[in-house]
Amino acid sequence: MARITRMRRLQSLQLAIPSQCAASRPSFAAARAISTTGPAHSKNTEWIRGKLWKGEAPGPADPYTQRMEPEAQSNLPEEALESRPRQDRTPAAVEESRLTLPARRTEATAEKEVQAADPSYVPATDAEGLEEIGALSTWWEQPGHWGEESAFKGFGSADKVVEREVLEVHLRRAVVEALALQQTGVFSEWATKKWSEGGSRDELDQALAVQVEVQDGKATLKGDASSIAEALTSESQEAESSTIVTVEEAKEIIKSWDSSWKNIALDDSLRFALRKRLYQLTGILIPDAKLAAANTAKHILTLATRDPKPLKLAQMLEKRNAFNDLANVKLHERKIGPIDKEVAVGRWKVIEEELKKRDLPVTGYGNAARNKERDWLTGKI
Amino acid sequence: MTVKALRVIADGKNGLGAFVLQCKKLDLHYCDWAGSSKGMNGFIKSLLPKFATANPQIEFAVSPRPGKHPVIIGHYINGRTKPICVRNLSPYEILQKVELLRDASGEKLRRTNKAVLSTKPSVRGIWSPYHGKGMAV
Repeated sequence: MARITRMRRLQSLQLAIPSQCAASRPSFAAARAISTTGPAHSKNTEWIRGKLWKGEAPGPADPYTQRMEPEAQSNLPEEALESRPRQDRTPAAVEESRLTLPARRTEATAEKEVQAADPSYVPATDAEGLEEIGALSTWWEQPGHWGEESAFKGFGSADKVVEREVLEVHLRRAVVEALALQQTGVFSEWATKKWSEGGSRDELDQALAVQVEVQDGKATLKGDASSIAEALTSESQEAESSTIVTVEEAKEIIKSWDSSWKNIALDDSLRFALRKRLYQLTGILIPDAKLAAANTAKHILTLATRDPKPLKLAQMLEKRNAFNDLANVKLHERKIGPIDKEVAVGRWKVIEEELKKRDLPVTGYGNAARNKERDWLTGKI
Repeated sequence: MTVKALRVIADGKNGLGAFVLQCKKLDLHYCDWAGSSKGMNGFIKSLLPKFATANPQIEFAVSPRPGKHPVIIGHYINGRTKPICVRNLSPYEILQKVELLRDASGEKLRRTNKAVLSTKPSVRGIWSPYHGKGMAV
């Protein structure tokens, strides 16, 4: 008995909760146009609707009756409403690209039509004298299609500076350059533009020769600021190499100046300029969230410097000479692989010779495809 | 190069016999990054030099195995190996494991409930003077 009542309760629950399939497929009750509440029934409820809404009730009396959707009216002219086949589906980025892209697929006229158009046409019977066009797969290997100029070149320096001293020298340079731009009055114009890369040592020396005097956070330059600004705003030349200062040199340079320049107060624009320039010179980008907390150049330096990577255990032991006087200990820097094991017993040269004799790849699988079943299992395909 | 036989295989222990340690090689694998190798790295740094000096007859091969738990593998003169995983162990716990590997014979572990261990066990058992009819001298 109890079971039956529970089932009834469940039935009512099912009615109350919209079933999941209703989301994808309209249920029968929703699809039908006929309402169970008749007109006589609705009349009876009219008074309560009036009471609820305090006047004339909005909407139909029976909300369950399906109504026809009003057709969308458009003010557009008829020509615009008519669907037109798009002529060119090339994306704008492809159209604007300066790369030589492979030509679109064209179809040659059929032999019969050519005969009709040009009676003197004789079809070729061999490939001699025909233009040679490589396959589409080798398009980017062909000369002129992809060169060094097409390769991506980031704004930041590719070689990251890790040493604190070198970083400090670059930061000082960035500060001097930003101040020089401010003094010459072109800072607001050039803050968001790309400054000249200045990869040469002369430009660095020029920037470092200028004295920075800081009083209450305000900095003034003593030196040739205009020439620095001019060099920055001129057309950028290709940088030769980013390692223009060694660590020893940087240590010497740092000793020559007073550390008070690091107390320079930074406003938003200067902070942004320093971060951008530091990224360009050293390849180190300070995260936005941390940059906001930097109020002086010292803070910027703290944020930019990172701890040097800890030594690997093998390197540390090598440095300590821990096992040097022990003949029975062998220290390996890398993992001992199967080849290393064969080399240790002197079998590898024999294996290598035999593999070469059979035209088999010595390492790897050669032209054979990778294990596809593994990809199936891991769900990659 | 001609092949030469080893001059000395075992040391005479003051007339008490020749002892050859069964463990011939120990492989020590560690990972530079993983936390389970912390104790192993400490062991290699601080305890291994002393242990290796004290056991010159064992060959030690120390090599990284990135992304794996630290393992010590003992190689024995009977051709068997005995690997022990030493993840999350402290250096001194690892030292105990290394000593265990050094002292092991390399044989499979088995329960000894017989007085004599033999490849050809005797059908009659061990002779005892207290059993039987006795012997007239």
